[in-house]
Amino acid sequence: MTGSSSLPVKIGLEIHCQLTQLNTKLFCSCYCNYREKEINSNICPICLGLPGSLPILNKKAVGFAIMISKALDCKIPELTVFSRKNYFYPDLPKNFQITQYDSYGTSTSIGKEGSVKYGENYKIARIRRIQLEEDPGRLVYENGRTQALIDYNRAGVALVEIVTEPDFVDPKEVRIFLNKMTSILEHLDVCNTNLEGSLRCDANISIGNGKKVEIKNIGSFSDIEKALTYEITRQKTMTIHDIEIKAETRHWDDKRKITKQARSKEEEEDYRYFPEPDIPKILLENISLIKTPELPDERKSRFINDYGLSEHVAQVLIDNKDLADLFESAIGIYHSPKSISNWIVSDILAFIEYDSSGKKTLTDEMKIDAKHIAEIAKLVDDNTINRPTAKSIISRIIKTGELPSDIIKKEKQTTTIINDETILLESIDKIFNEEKKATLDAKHNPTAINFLLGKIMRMTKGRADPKITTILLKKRLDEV
Amino acid sequence: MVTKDQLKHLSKLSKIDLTENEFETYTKQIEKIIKYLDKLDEVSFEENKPSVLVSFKKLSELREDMVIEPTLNIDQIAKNLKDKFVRGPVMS
Amino acid sequence: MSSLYTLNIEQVTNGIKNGEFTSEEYVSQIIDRIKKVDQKINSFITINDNALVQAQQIDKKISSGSKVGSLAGIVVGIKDNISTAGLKTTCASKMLSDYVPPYDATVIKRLKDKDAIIIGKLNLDEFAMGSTTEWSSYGLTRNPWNLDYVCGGSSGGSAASVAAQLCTASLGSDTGGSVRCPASFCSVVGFKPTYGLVSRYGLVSYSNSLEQIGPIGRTVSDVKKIMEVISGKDTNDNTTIDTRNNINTNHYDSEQKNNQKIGLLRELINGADESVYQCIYSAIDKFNKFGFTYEESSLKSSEYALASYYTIATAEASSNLARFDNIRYGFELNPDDYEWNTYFSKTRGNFGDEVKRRIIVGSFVLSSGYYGKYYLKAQRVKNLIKHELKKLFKEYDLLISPTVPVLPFKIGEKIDDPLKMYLIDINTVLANLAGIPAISIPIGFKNGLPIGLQIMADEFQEKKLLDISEVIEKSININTSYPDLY
Repeated sequence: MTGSSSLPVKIGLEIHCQLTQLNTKLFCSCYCNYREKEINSNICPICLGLPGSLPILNKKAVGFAIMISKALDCKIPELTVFSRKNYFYPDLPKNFQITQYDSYGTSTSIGKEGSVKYGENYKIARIRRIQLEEDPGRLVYENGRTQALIDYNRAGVALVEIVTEPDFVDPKEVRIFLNKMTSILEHLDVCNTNLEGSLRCDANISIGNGKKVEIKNIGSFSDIEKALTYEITRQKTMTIHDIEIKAETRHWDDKRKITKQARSKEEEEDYRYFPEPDIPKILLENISLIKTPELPDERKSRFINDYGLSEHVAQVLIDNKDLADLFESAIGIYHSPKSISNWIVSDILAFIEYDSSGKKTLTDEMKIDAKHIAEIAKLVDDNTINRPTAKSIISRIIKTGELPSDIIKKEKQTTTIINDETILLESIDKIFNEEKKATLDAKHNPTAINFLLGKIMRMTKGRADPKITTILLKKRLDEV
Repeated sequence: MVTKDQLKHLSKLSKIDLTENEFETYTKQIEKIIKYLDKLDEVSFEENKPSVLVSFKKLSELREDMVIEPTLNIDQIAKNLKDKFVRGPVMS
Repeated sequence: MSSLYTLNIEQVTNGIKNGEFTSEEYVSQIIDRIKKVDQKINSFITINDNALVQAQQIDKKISSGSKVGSLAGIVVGIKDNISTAGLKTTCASKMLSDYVPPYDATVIKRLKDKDAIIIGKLNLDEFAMGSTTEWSSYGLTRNPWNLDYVCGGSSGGSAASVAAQLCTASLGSDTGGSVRCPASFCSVVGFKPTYGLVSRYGLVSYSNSLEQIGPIGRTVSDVKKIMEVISGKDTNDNTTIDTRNNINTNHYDSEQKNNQKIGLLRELINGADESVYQCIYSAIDKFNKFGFTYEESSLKSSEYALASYYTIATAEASSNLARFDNIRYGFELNPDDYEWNTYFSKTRGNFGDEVKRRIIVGSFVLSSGYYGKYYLKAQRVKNLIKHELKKLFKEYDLLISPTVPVLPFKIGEKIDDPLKMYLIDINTVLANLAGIPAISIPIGFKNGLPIGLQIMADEFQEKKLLDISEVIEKSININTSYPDLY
């Protein structure tokens, strides 16, 4: 029996990223955002593949693909070429897909031989190639039926396919890498990764240098770790029992949480790739003028070096680009990076929800933005309100969008910090009267002071300045 | 040599039904055609030929990313619709 | 006025503008003639019901003093693989028997912009695959000069209708000779432009790296007039290129004509029939008197041109025709209860024999294991031919040959032997492979059957080619008679 723990695992990924931030599709001028459009209403002769139609390449899509190539440190050719992948399927309007894969060696896709650093130890994942291609339409099934209904609204939307070398050795690495990739794509502003279906990933695994198994139909990034873990276990188990692992394609069954053999085809599909005659070779001139926006690693360094944030806080902001943007806008209004970043990380982050696919969303319903946070930070720093008050204001702002200063005006009685010693002493005396036993305790026992302090805070509706109150409490106790 | 089996494979690849009769006739005809195409093997290419003028399009000449409101009505084109979906066949 | 159908483009547009007759009169006569004559030759698949109304609109425009386009009133027949909005476009195939395009091809838009009237859709070999128009699912088109003979293909309807005077001019498509061959067989002028000069948006693709839409007319002058209107860069076709040479007919430089050096491609005439051979040389004698320098020349790689052509064309066809699965458009056949592989294969069984053969050959030459041997090599040969022709055009202004090495032959004669049929194209495929412009002009008859001369120029030398062809046409001066059909 072969010892499974010594078998090296090799995982490679094929990521499909929709260029959702384009206005139009890759080869025609229909809307790029097909979601929530009436069925088969976002179509034209080109994306429907009507006879006589011709693909017209989107300049900005090429620009986005170049930015992705640069961000992933890829070599970009002088001339980039498109090709046809020929196969039949009802969701494919032309029964071929225009892509850039060339199975015959001469690599002229938009990028190749790049790399990405990810994780705490900056492990390197090599990128084999990057290519532009078009999305097919969507097949929908009525309940219980197998007859396909086809919606072509999505057909022709621009995709960038990113293929890695099989450099990953366990599913955890894959997860961390995919988070990094998501962050990069968000920072490039080429893909809104919160949109459903905007980022998809297939994987291939081999163990012990054996045959490669492809896993497709993984619904979301959060499923990948599960799918890969399952598949590795399956393969290791087979190996232990000396069962041969076949090179095949398997589908991830999300309901049963297993991989299963894809419908076996009698022959392996022959895609008969050849260069796309309707699109000339594209001369990629002056691409040095195409500047990529700031990438996550650069931004993180800048947060640490320029703003003095800790590694941890900086990482949290980078991992949630919305929050990083919020942070920078807020410090533009009130320059206090440390306190603002802390407010965001400790208070706002908690309100961010995970939806069913595991994605984080700074929902549109959260009415808080930079000016709110800047004000809060300033009010606390100026000692106009105290921390507990600030926290409660934040949760109110998120719902209503009111400015902190407005809330304070409205709720003057309940928000302004009380640091007037006379008023505080009044409250202290009141509490001493109500809590005679605790007061006596507090003379000897410091923790009882906290109890009294708590009572005073409640009585003053959180407005008492905790520092001053504590000092006065101790003084008064001595006098009692 | 193009065999009937090869033809069967190609007809499957191109998704075209052929009758038994067609298989018979086409095999012979296609074999003749492929034999003629084998002429290409006779061509000798001089190694030092200067590369042919490659026609290309500049990145700057490509289409701007501006929406043109879609006006195509699926009802005008597709014959089998259900609730605006195009009716497809059964997927096994 | 009767016999308006005999008028050429200039005579029609001038006649209507000057009030000698109305557009409505002209179109009425044409429609009448089509009804009487076309049953003999079967060049039309669909007649435009709206043509008379459009003619009336043009008349209204003129009488109200509004400006009309340069082609106002002429009737143009359109090969039925070019998309016409609202008018059935079948490609002569059962697969598209019910297909009505929702959009106009760019060339159609441009013709309409100049007030030309689309009179109807013309017969072709199914999906433009063929050399005799015998592969149409709407029946074959007969040669107007002799009804027992083929009219050439694949744009047979386009050539026959012009020869039979059923339209002022027509549009065809030329992938390996499909405009020039029928033009030659029907004794009319057919022109294939430089690749990229005329938009293919709306042309149902057969072999997209080789084909161009081209005009067919009674004279070179008529062909020029159509070219002026339809050519030019199009944002809807990424393969169109800015024209480098102006083909404006009013700019004829008489200096040029006497200094032209013409080369006859030896390989292309050596294989020709005796009667074709003789006709070519007698034509050469005639135009030599006009001061051209003429000599025999050679293109070594021409031997491999046909193999290269059929490899590339069938490969692209196998992919271009994959979209015809009857799901989105096509003909009546409900997909309910059909498993999808079965449905696709069954509907696609409706292609004709020649189309099926070419799709299969095309899949073969692209399939793994064969791609390098066939497709890649064919591309290299294509480049070789382009290169050699470029060299020749440094020496010669124009290159000539017979358009087709044989006379038109009897219907059914080559239908059972595909390879024999392919050899018809042996002289014409060169121009498609190299992307250069080429024209066929009628130069004579033998036994009542037409013979054509092919003239080729370097890419984008349309002006030179058309201007000189006009001179040669005049020098040969064959009787511009028309077949006696009615």
